[in-house]
Amino acid sequence: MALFSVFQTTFLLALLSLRTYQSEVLSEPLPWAPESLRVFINSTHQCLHLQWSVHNLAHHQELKMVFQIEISRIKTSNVIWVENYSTTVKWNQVLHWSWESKLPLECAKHFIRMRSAVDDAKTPEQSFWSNWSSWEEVHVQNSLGHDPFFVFPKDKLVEEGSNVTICYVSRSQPNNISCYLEGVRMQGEQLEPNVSVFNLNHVAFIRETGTNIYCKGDQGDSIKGIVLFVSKVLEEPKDFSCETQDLTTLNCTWDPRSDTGLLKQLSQSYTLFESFSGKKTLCKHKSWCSWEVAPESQEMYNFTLTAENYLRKRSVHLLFNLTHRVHPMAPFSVLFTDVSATNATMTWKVHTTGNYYTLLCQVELYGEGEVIQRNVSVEVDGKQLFGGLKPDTEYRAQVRCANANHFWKWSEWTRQNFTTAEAAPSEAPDVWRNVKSVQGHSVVTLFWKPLSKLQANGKILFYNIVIENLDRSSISKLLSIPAPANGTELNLDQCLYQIHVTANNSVGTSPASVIIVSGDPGNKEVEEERVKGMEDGFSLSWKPQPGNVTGYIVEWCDHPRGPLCDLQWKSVGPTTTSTVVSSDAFRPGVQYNFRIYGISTERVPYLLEKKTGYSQELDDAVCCKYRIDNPKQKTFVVENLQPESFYEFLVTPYTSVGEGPHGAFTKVTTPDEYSPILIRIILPMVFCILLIMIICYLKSQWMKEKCYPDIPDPYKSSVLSLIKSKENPRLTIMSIKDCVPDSIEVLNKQEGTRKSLTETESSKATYLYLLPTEKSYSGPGPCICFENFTYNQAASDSASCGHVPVAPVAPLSQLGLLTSPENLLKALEKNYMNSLGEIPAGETNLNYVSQLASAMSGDKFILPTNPPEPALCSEYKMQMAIPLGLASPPSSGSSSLSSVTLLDEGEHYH
Amino acid sequence: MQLQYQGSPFSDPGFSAPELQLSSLPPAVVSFKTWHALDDRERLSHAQGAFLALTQHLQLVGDDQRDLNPGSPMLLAQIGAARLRAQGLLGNMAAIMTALGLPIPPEEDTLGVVPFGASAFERKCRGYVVTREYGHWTDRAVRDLALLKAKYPG
Repeated sequence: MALFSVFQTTFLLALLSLRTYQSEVLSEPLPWAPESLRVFINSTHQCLHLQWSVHNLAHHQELKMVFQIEISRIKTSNVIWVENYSTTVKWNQVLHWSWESKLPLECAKHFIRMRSAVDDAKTPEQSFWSNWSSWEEVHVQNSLGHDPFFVFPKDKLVEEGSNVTICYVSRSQPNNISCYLEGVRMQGEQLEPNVSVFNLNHVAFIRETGTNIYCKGDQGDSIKGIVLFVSKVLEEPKDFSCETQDLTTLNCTWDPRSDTGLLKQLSQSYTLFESFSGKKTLCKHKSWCSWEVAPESQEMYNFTLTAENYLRKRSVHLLFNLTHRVHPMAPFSVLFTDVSATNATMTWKVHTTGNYYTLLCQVELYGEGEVIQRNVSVEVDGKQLFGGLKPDTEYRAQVRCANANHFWKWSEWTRQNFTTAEAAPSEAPDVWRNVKSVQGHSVVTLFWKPLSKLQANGKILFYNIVIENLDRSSISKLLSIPAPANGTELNLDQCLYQIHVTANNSVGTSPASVIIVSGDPGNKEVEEERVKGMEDGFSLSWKPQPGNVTGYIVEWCDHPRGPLCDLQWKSVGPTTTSTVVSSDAFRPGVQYNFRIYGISTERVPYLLEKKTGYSQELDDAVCCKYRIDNPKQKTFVVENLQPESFYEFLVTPYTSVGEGPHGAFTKVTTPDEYSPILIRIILPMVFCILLIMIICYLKSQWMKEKCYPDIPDPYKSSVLSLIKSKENPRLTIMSIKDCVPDSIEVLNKQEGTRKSLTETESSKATYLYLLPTEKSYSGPGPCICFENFTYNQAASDSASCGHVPVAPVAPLSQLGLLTSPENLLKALEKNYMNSLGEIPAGETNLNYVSQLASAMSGDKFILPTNPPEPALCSEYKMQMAIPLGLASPPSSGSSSLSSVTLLDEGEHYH
Repeated sequence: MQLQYQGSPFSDPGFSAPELQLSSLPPAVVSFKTWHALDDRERLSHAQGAFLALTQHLQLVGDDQRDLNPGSPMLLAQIGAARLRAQGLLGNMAAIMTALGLPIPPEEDTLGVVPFGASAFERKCRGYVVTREYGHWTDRAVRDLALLKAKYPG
């Protein structure tokens, strides 16, 4: 056992010594361990920059090494990042490594350490890790100020859709701090007792001026916040393309897509790089850039367009041959030479773009409804001849060109208009005539239709008419009728005439239209046939003529009822024996007459047939038809016609075979229906009214006496009968002559009996005091009493006066001032003051002396300014004789009876 | 109006943060008792000092907003106009103080090195405080001058 024990001890010692040896070997510092580790903080980019060196490297020695870097957060045991950084280390080299933290560095402490190993085949024996360097602590919070809390990171710029971590750091704990993103409260997680973290995923672009994120405590702490600048994601430029117009400048264009500009960041910039020449240019514009083509005629170009902003770069490439990207400039100097009536030569020039290729030009000509298109190969000048054009027609020409060898794009169009020259009219005018025999002469009215534009070949200036007497062939006459006349009248004798009509423009004369006119109008009696109009006109047909005819003419009037019938005609060929005549002038209910002429080979027209009919028969047009059986009857009365209506009458004879020809209609308008009736009623009425007015005027005095006498007669009043029926049979009617009239005197006093309150008031305007206020005297209140003894004896006995309080009335002279509330107030104030105080002197007083008061004083001439006793109320009594026993004596005391006080109390009772 | 350009929470209806203050800008809010107890010299020199600070702060806020809201010329013009008005009032106050025989405090740099390095949010906050205090000081100046006018009629 002891032996075993000794052995065990020896083994343990040996083991211990071995461990010690091993430990010594391991703890021996590695010759190339990282040294002088320093950590720099970039808060803006949330970056930690590490800087260290490796000593003991021999001069010019290079060694491949691996550095393992460990980063912990909050405490050293909480390792959040481990990275092996491989690099070749040289003698005396300072090494760098950066790490970007997702969490703002201010939010928590960070600890960094590193160790190294040689990863070089030259020194395989050294390929184990060195010791860790000591932990380097990064604590940005130390440098913060003294505010209660802070929010990080400040003014961060991120791309839309990225994830952002935000934190607040509070100085006190516990803290009740709430944080908001655009007004919405965010839910965070506690990192440390005084630090909370908020993770924002996929942040969205809100506005260019940034997104506000702010926090505030519930203790009324200050607001703290940050502005998060979220930019749109930089996209690849679209539709990048380059072309040249002149082979000296390339113009490159692209679609820049969305603008990523923010306050914190300028819009993306664009650079153009060409790899063959190695040249680079910074583009001044957002969507295009110019590139000078190298003079040494570089053919191939390989462009890289790079869009770049603060956060990212995007590039697109384009490889092309310069001559395949020629977009020629628009042709110029487009001219038309040798322009005749039917031909024109077009010439144009193109911009020279080098002498080694030709252009393909496209020429288009637009005339009246026709398009001519030609393709022309051009080197310098272009030329194209156009034939078969229409005379006197405006043509619009346009030309554009493209590279003939390598088509890229057409140039812009260059346009030019021209008009072909005039030519002589191509067709003879369509001529017709109307012949009337007047007193042995023929009045021939010639009509012709204006030539169409296609036939006229220019502007028709005049029509020439040559009248040739066929009977005496030597005599001919020339008339020239200026355009735009479409007819003329000729007075001819009964001879046979051949008339030639030609239309003339500035170039020449049209073929002649020939017509033979004789004294005989050719209106031989032919049978008139009825035709029925259709929707599209009248369908007419006639019998073919056995002889030779050169054609037929159908003639009619567009306005058969009008004074000018507006003669129309239609020419058809010799083989045609039917036609449809249509006209916009045809109206329903109007009868149209058609004459069909044949034109002989001698060009003499002769009447063949007559047709008549309505284009549309109206029911109300032919309203009635009367058959008069007595051939001797010469008058007929048509009854039951509508007033104010237009009628046409026609009388035509008839036989057993049928009706005779229709002559002209007689036009009649029926008169108004009501005028005679009205005249019959109104005239007697006017007469009656006049008669009544004259009678009234003559008897006006009598009427007035009867109806509205000036003074009503009491004896005739119904009141009397009422009174008599009551219990006072002694009542009598007072005679007018017994009455004593009232008198009104106007007194104008210069001095008052009392001194006025103020001096200014004495000069105030005249006031008419209808009633004093209660305070102006000590007696009973003012009153207006209307007592009628006749009707209410009991009331008078009890002396119940109706005391009517009346507010001070604004004097008339002050009314003009009462336009504003202030004036009103002043006026009221003044009135009250006057009422309360003394009445100013020198006022005009209106004294009403009642008949009763004067009777009481016994002297009606005495001035009422000094009444024997203060009478509170003047009294008004009905002018009625009252028996003494019943009449209550006028009281001078408080028992005032019906009274009207018009006296100024202030003046008279103080 | 300035607040409408700053985004939430400044542009929220009824936004008010009386706790936000600037150490370089004297607050206008004062109790009535304290205000009434001031003598003419104190009253005028307080206002004079405040408007002196306001002119400098409005210049700073104008610069801030030129960065923060370059696309809002109307806002920048209004801040500029407010600064000119504050300067005008400052001149008038100096004239009043001279007329009353009161010493005019020397012009000082109230901002110092404070404004540099402020974050966008801090600049928005100080814009709010300056415009708020400008309004309050204008109201207070009206009361101050009304009181002086009553005291020295004519």
